Amino acid sequence: MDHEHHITQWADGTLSGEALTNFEKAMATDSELRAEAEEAREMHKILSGNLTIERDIPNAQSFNSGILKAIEAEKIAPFVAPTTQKTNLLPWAIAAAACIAAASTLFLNSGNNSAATTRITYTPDPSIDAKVYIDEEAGATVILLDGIASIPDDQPIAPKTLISRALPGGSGSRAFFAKHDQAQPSMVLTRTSGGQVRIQDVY
Amino acid sequence: MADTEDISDEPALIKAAQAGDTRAFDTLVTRYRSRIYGMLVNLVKDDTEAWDLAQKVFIKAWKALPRFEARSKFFTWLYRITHNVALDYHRRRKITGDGELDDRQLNAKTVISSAPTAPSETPRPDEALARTELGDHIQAALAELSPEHREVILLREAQGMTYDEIAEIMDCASGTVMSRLFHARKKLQATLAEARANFLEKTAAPGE
Repeated sequence: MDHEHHITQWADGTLSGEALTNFEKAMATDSELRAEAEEAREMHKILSGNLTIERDIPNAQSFNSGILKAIEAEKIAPFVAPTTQKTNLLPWAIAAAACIAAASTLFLNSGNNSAATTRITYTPDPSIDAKVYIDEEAGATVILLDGIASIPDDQPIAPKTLISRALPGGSGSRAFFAKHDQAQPSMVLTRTSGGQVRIQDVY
Repeated sequence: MADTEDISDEPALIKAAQAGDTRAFDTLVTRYRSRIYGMLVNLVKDDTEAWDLAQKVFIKAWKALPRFEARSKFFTWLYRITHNVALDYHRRRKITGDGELDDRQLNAKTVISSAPTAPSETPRPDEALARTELGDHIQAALAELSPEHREVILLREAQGMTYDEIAEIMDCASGTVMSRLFHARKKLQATLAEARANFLEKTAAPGE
């Protein structure tokens, strides 16, 4: 492995100090190693001299204005941390996420649904009431749950793919992120003033 | 080919954008849009999709901007979002398995065969032609690489990113980046052997 790393670093000109000295000593006595390293350096020169990924973007003005329009809309999107009462949401947030897993999977792939579409929800516990609607303004599917019971904090919740983080502002709201993409939450959970759990699938 | 090369005002622009200044963010979009778009064209092989996805990258960046802490360069952070958006795109299109990018998705003809490190003087016509031909061969060879190898080559050779920056984008160790570069170059070396020989022959100075 060091062999690969040293050849790459030498080819790129990033090997320095004692490591460089040692590698050059090794090359002086090993013609195969020298040939391999020189080939790598030559390839680096050819590629860096012939590749670029920048491209002029078509309709640049429209590109920027589309983004600005979207982020202006984002300013009023409700997934920004609300300023309601401080609550420890984690236990029932986990429960909520778990019990509507099947339903939310359905909605994750339903970007073109209209508000008039009939939603089918399933909760394993019949005492939990689920309501689902599309919030067109926020561009989000919202799921409201009533009757969620607390469960222990250490309850696992898709630990390999999902992480949750408290939103700033002390609201007690939590955002759920796919592990591979922590730039934007996939789902945000808050408790409404009526005591319901509000689950917003952001798409 | 970045829209604006002077980045001395970048920290101020980021700070302003984090505070909600959309005009500052617009300047950042203009600065980085050609790189993000170009990367996505290479990753999704569709100019129109790349255009839409590039917009998505910037919208996601806007949403995530409050959490940007300047521990990494802004454009490295932006590339990480781009990497993830491309992965999501392929997952949703069910083109690939386990979220990996598909080799077939590289648009070999979209990589521009001129580079920042190329000599600034105008090349001789025969040299320019040879360079274009070599560029075509490189792009074809890139298409044969695995997604990880292709991406690491593009980020290192076309963008000049450091191992650590690439590791941050691809969510792996910098040692893994070096290993991928080593193997990717080996494969390209084998694929391009003939093209390289022709290029060297054609670009040799007259009389050599």
